[in-house]
This record gives sequence, C-alpha cells and structure tokens, in this order.
Amino acid sequence: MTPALYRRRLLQTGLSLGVCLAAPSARACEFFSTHLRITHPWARASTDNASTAKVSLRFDEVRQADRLIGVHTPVAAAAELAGTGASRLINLPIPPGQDTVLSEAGTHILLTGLKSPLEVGRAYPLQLVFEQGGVIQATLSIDYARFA
Amino acid sequence: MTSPFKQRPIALAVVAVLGSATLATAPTPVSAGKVAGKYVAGDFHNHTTCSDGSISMQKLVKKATDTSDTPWGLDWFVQAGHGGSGSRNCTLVEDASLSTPAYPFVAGQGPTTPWTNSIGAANLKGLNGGVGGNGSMWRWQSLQEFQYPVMEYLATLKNLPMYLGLESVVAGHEHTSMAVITGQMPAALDNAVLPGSAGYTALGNATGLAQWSYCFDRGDTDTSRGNVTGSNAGNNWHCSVAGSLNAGDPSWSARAQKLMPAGGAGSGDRGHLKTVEAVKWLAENHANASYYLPAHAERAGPFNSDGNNGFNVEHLRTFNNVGPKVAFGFETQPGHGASANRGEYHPNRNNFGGVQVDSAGGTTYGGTGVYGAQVGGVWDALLGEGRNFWFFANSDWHNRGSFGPDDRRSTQDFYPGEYQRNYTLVRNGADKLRPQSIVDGLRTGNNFSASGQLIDRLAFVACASYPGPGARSNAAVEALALAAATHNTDIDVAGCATMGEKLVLRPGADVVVAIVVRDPSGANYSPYTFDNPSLKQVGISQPLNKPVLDHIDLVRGLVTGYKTPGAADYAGEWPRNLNWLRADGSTATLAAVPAAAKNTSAAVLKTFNAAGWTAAGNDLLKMSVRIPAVTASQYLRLRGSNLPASVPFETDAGGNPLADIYTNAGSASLLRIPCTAVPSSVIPPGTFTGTTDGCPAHLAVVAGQKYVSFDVAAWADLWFYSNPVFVQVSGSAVVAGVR
Repeated sequence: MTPALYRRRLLQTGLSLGVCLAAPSARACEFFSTHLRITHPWARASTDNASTAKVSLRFDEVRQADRLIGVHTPVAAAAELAGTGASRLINLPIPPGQDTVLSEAGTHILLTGLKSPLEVGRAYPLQLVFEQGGVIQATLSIDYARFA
Repeated sequence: MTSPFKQRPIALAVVAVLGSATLATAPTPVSAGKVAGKYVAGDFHNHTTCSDGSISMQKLVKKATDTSDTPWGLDWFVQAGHGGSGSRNCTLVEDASLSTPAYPFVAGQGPTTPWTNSIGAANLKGLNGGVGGNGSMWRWQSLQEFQYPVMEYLATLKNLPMYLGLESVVAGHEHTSMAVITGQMPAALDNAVLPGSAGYTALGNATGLAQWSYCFDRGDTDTSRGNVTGSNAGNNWHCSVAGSLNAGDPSWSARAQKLMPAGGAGSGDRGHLKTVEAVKWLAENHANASYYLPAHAERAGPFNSDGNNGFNVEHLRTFNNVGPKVAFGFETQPGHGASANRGEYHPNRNNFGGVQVDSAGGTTYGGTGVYGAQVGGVWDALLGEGRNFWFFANSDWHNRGSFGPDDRRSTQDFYPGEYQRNYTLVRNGADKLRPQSIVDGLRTGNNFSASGQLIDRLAFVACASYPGPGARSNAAVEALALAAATHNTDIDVAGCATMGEKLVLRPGADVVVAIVVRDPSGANYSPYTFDNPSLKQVGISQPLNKPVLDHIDLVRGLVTGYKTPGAADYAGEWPRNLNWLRADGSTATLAAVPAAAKNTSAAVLKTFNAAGWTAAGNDLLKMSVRIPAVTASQYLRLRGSNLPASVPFETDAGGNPLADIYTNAGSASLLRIPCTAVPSSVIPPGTFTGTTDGCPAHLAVVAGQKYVSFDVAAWADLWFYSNPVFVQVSGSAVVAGVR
C-alpha cells in the first residue's frame, strides 16, 4: 500500500471530522503547495488584552519532505512554534507520507504581539513559508468565540 | 441506461404542428395559457457556522431577506451549507437582537458554541457520535433535527419562501448546490400558531434532504444509516437506486447500505459513478422536488480520475442525461466576489497527484467562470445540443474576510442578494411563493442573473414572423416585452418564447427579438461613491455605486443535437494551466479547446448600446432586432455589462471579459488598475456602515499605489447573463431538452 492510499483511507474512515475537514476544499480550508496540502488554519477569538493566539492546522498529502520555516500575518508581530517540546523558532520538519497536525493541545503556531483582537467569524491573511514549497498565501479562520 | 429522448420526438412533432398552425392563422397576440408569475430574486448557496460560515441561521436569514437593515431583501432564500459534519451549533443566535420566542438568545452561547456544549455530546448520533465520539454532528442529523426546524420557524414567522438545501461535497468532484424540498414547509404552516416561548416542533421535515446527505455526500462517512450511535433506532436509511447495481457494486457497504468508494487511484472515477447514482436517486424519488446544480463549477480545475476535483463537460452532460429534471444547470458565476482571488478561482489552486493545476480557465472572467463566460465555451457547447442547462449565480456567503459581519466592506464575500442575484420567473398564480413554485421556476430556466444591481428587470422575447398575415413588426414585439418588464413578468403569447422556452418555426420565418431591461437609477449596495477606477481609464466618470448599463450583447449559437455518450465529441477537458491562461494574463483561443467543450457557432450577433436602444420610461430601455429567414435551430442569449469594450485589463475589443487576474490581490504582480481617489475623511476604526468617497485602505498596495482589488474590483466590473431562448426550426435539429 502506498502512503497516498493509506492517507486517503484514513481520511475516509473518519479522521476528517473537524469543522473544515468536514467540508474539504471549502473556502479558507485547503491550500496547496506542490509538496503538500495545508488544511484549515484556525484560531479562537482572542480577548481584548491577549497578546498571543494559538493557530492549529494540518499538513497532509505530503508527497515530498518539506519544512515550515516562516509564518507571517498582518495581525501579529511575529510567530513561533509552541507546545510540547517546541523550540520557538519556526523550523518544523514535515515528513512525507504522513499527516503533521498542529493543535492547541500539542505543538502549534503561537502568534505573538497581536496587533488587535482576533474576532470570531473573520478570516485573516496567513502567509506560510516552506523551505521547498515556497510561499503559500493561506487564510486564518477564527472559528470559535471567546466563550465557546 | 434509459434514453433521455424517449417519447420526446412525438411530443415535439405535435408542438411543431400546433405552433405552426397557430402562427399561420393568428398573428395577433393569443395567450399561450401560462399560469401568472413574476420574477423574484433569490440565492441558494451560502453558509452558517453549522459548516464553515461565520454566523447563525437567524443572522443569515435576516441579512439575506431584511429590507431595512440590509436593504437588498431577497424575495426567496435557500440556506445551503456543506454536507459532511460540523462541530458548531448554528441555531444559537449571536445576541438578543436576533432573539425570537422559540429561539431566544442564551447568554454565554452563540453560533460558534460547539454541539457538545449546547445539546450535549450524548445527543450526537451516528458513527463517532455519543459521549465517546468526536463532538461533530453529521449533517444529516443537523439538517433533520436542528436546521430544518429553525428554518421552518423563521419561514413561518417572517412569512417568507425559504427552505433548506445543501452545498454537497461531491464524490468524484468538488461541490454542488442541491436540495430536496419534499416534506419542507407543508401547507399546514399557513394556519400554524407559533409558540410564544422557547422550543419549536416542526410540522414538516427535511428528511428527504437529510437522507440524500447521508447517502451521497462525500463528506458523510457515517455508516449508521441515520441511527442513534450503536443502535438500530432511527432512520434506518438505505440508499439503493432502482435498476442500479446497489449491493452488487464493489463500492457498496452492506453496513452503511450505501456506496462508499475506496480512495486512492481511480477514486475520482469511482466517486463520479456514485454521484451519477445520486442524481438518479433524486430523479427517482424527488423528480419535481429536487435539483442538482454544480457549484463554482470551474474552481477545482478539470476532472481528476484520482481525486475529487472539477467537472468536465462530459460530467455535466451525464448528470443532465440521467436527471434532466434535476441536473438542469450550474453555478458558473461563483460567489466569493470580494475575495483576494475573485470567486476563489486562481492559478495553481489545485493539486493533482503533486502537480499544481489551475482552476479551469485560471480565474473568473468578470466574475463568471470560463465555462459560462467564454462565448463558444462549455455552456454554449451544452446549449448547442439543445439541452436544458441553465446559468445561475450565488453568493457563497461565508464571511467578510478581515471585516466583521456588519461591516459594509469585504475582502471575502458578499451577502446573499447584496451583489449577485438570480431573478427567477415563479408561476405561483394567486398563491403565495412556496418552495415548490421556486424549484419549478429554477427548473424552467426562465431566469437571469445580475451582479451589482446592474439591471433588475429583463424581458427577453423571441417571436416568429412569417410573410403575409403572420407578420409581426419589431414594434409589436417590443410592446410585448415592454408590457412584461413593466409588470415584472414574462410574455404569454402564442408564437413567442422567452428564457428557458423554445419557439418552434417553419423554415424561412423571421425571428423578431425584443429586449427590455430596467437599469435602475440611484445607488446600488456598494459603499463606494468614488468614480469607477476601471472606467476612469477610458475617461468615463461614473460613481462606483451608481453603475450604468453600457451595452447588451445578443449571443447566438446553433443547435445540432445531443452528443452521444462515448463518442469523441462527448468528453474533453478545458485546456489546463498555461494552455489556457498565460503568465501575462492573456488567454488561448477556442482552437485550444477540444470539440466536446465548445460550440464554435456561438458568437455575438448584435450589440445594443445607447445608440441602439430607446428609453421607455421608468428606467426601462427597449430594443429589438429581426433575424431574417431562419433555417437552422439555434438559441439566443444575452449578456450585458457596465464596461464598454476595450477597457484595459477588464474587456477586450469584442467586449468579452478578460481574466480577472489583473484585479486579484492574490496575483499582486499583475495588478494593473490604480485606485487613486483620496477619501475626504478616513474611515474610523470599528464597524463601517456608511459610504466613502475614497479608495479604502484594505485594497492591495504595490509600491505605494493602491490597486483595484477585493470588493472594489467586484463593484467595478458588473455583468448580467440571461438564460437562452431556443428556436427550433422544423426539419432542423430538435431542441430535445426543452418541451
């Protein structure tokens, strides 16, 4: 079985049940480089005095090894890797043939120096820079209100 | 496969004889016996937080139908989000202003509150439901138990024609706008007494829609048959189709009682076959109460045998063959009109096995996909067969990008009715508008779509004129069209036809075409009062919120009959990537398009502009043309724009829309139209609800210069498209798709 087949079967068998994954290739859900798919970058609305926000997303359909080396958005001054074992510098290996999931509970992207509160229901530009795949213009969806 | 042509030749022959006889003896207007109707504006593709939208059901209904707060106030509305599943409860309102007795605002909750925090995990059904599940609700449950009741309640409370549909995630393809209205909005609601306190029990149901979602949506990988998690209690649906393989199909899941094609190589082909079954199921079970209309048909590129991407012309043909009353058109003018990439169509958008593939056509063209926008392209190929295949436009509302939901600016979407509208002739007679009359109206194809309120009325009439007593003057036909447009209805005259209809002629008759449009004076819903920067390039000063119709093109193509499945000219993909849209934004010609996907007989027959039309009062413009001695079956359709021919980076010398790549912020290096108006006052922070006389700050900036992009690009570049009037000449090709 090829990795591609395996990944598709995984998707079929019920791993694809998030808000956006339930709607593959819907607006602001899927973005492609030649090497991989970026699915559904999202965050929660931030409180008025928050200076950081956690970004979750998934890299899948990874056909060639790549590395996330930069994250830029006009709503934050900077971004770093955070969570278990993360070393702040955006330098995330993305191995081929498997999914790399960034989540609030595990490793995620931490936006720092928020310039204004992230408001629920909006979608902000999010630029992801890959070592191999180049610069991909994605969007960051704010999917949950502060109280959710 | 059942022939789609069964019995039609006889019926057509009868029509032909009757039509000819009537025309020969009755040159004066005689009623064709139509039920009275009127054109009403609506939208059938948009999203809430139950899928990937950003607002509640209630807020979306208010935004789409309100006539004061949001003045665009659509006449009818279909809420249709994605199939699959979702984690958020879109029936919880944002604030007290959206409270209703049955669905009051609950402090601390709103439309982004997860199902698990509102109804509780234990109430989630199906595979992965319950307290041990993943917290997502299958769309079938959401439609059946939560979204339908709130829709029924709102439709009754507001006395508006509304129903639930779905933007299905399609097996083998991308997305389709569809609905099953069976069970929805029963007549009993006319006398219903709504509750005065929280809680509502629906009188009708969306079970047909929910079942289809379970059975055929690609995002629905539930195997529960619509039942309670780990139980046989529930819907116990099965998804078989009469005359199909069903359990004999290798993709059939006995547990799920539905087709669950495997992924991997060939998944696109297998998925497509499942989707053909989905259309058959609709035709079999809900023949007059459903539709299946591929959404943003070009966005996901061409068809991909190994994935779930676009639709080629052969797929549209096949859907129409197996369900001619169900698969009767497509949304070739997508929503997302204010996006960084208009319609979210752009080069390299898709990935086919590691190879990046453009949306078909690369971008939109004046906001319309290449299938519909290219004269002689895919739509003309389908019409050239004499198919009933209609053009639709929708908002695809999700959110306003960087702005809040009540802001007038947008870097993403427009609300339903704010920018694009379908105007559909609905024959409700003396009855009020109901879902069935709307679906019937969509099916007839008597529909036109307009963006930016460019026009809001259209009468498009073709009448036969024979030498002698059967002659009709241009003035007589103009008078028919003027009367129809004045009353916002269509014509009801034997020997004449309008959109979605066919005129049956003897060879040699003249066809007199009359057009009356209303180009409404005053401001549209754009918040921008500065001059249109696109028109400014050619010396025209025209406020962006006060567009003026520049011209109308009458497009004609010949009808040559249905293509045969399997024949060389049945299937063929639109030229991919640089084979169509080149790096400099120019395009190839139809020479690059395979025979299956084009109709080279289609061309602009005549262009009307201020020199060729006559003001008829009340903002109405009338015009006509006589097509002499017609001998071949054909169709006539219209398009119009606020932009003349040869507007740099907008239209070519023939008046055709250019690729929107020059106004897509996503292709910043190709932005070409400066936006230079300086606002007299800076828009303050917060929600913007007014108008502004200068180029807004959110436009794309290159080297210090603002460029036309996002919502300004959409408001600058307006189009309308009519559906066709067919002309069937005795002895020439039969227009088989239209009765």
